[in-house]
Amino acid sequence: MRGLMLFLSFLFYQIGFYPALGTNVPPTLVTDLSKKIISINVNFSGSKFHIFGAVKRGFSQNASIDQPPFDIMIEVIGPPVSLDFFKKERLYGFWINKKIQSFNSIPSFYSISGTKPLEKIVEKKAKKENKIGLFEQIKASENLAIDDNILSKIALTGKSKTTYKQESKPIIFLENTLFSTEIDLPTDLVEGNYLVRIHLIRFKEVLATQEDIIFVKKVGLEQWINYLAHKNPAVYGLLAIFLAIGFGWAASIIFSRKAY
Amino acid sequence: MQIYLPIAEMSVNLFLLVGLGGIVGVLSGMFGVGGGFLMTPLLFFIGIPPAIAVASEANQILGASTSGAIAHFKRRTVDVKMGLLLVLGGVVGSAFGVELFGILKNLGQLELIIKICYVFFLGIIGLLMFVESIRALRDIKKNKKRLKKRHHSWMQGLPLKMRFRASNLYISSIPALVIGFFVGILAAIMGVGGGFIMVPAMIYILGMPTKVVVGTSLFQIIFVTGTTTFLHASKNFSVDIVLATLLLIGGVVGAQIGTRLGLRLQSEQLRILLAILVLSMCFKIALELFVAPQEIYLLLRRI
Repeated sequence: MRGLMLFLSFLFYQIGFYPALGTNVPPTLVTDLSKKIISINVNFSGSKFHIFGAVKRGFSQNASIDQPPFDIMIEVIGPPVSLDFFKKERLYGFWINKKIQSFNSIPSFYSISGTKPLEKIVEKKAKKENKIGLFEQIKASENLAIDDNILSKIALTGKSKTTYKQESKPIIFLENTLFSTEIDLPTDLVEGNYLVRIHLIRFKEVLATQEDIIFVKKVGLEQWINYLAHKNPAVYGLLAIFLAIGFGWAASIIFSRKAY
Repeated sequence: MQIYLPIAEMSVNLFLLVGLGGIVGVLSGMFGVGGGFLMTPLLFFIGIPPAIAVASEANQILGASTSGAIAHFKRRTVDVKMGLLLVLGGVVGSAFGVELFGILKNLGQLELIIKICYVFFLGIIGLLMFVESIRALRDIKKNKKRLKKRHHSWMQGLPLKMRFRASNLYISSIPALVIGFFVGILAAIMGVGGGFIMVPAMIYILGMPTKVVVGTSLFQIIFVTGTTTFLHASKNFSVDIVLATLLLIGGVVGAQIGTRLGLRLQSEQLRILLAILVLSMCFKIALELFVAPQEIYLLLRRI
């Protein structure tokens, strides 16, 4: 946390004394993540990371205090997975799953947060143009037309509580310049690159977008087991068998000694 | 203390898993039941995906049955020839079950089928246990012993007859193969050893003497759960070694405690409690199937 504050004060310093260029340079973003890698180890139980940054203004915008405020929107998009989308329907008294859509490459995780309620920051058109929002991301990565009606139902699945967050924690935005937010990652993370997209918005127009990547990977025992289970399943199966027999055998030796 | 399960891809409390293994171990030691049909639903209740629960539980049963099988083998209370026939049927059944498991998983109907199977079997086992233990209690009071039926007449007509020395039988090998096959399917789809089906079937259908029944069924369970573990691991990637090992650690210790407790307590009376436990689990799973779900839409990973 102290490191983060130091970094932020350093940013403040840099921006405050930005050389006067005299030209109207459009504002851009300077951003960073508190972590670049998230490791899933034996006692992993979800994770968090911070996204922080600052708005870097062109000269002409620098001094004026009565500038209309900026807005920031931050998206985190997990690596693609294949998912089937089901609707539960009643059949002879049983609740059965009926497949309504197959996704071949849908983000495994999605989170979006903003400095204001999201619908007040951008409009549909800008969202579409800049591929902002879960539905736009799904459409972009699926590469096929999907009924909006089906997409809107994704928000109703249990997954939406942890995996597809339509409105995460709000972004803290100081002096119309510095911003930071915290992203919660659930325990059922898919390994791979998580794309972080930070949008600078004013008057519902996207002025700049900055992208960064956070890498999630299993490490140590978890990595080894997972690798073996998927790359060499026969060996893994035999290992599971020998481990179980070994434990059972060891137990029978230990306890039969105790009994006599 | 949380532990991350690498295949289930979720984080669970370590003591909860070892504790569950321990409790089921005590029950299985006390009543001489395998425990798979108790453990797998408990794993569903704590949120382990049914596919992972079933496959990992098959692996755990393998370990939990090892010491019992060794003990029976040493005491020569195993009919190896009959056991091998049951294994042959079981291995084929297991392969068939694992194949079916994969198909159902891809159709998104796996959970449903597993739960229907559990409601059906837990209901039957619970009711039978309940009736049996009440009858046993009455019999103790009246000091009567019930007779067991042996040798069905329709079985005498079946071909492929074989001699089973240890069981002192000369019967067709077809019923044993069929029983083994059926138990193999159950092992693959429900994550159970299948002793609760096999033991009565061996006594009432095959007419085997009770002294070799438990040993022979454990002999079959070892090979069939071993095969099931291997096939699930290589076809469905659904065996979680960490989950199985933690349950096993609790299970083997619990089973020892249970065996000692069982010798001291009147297990016939306690059997009613076990029957009630089984019936209430059946009821809870049935509720999930018949009561309107809170979430109508769901997303499932494809393999």
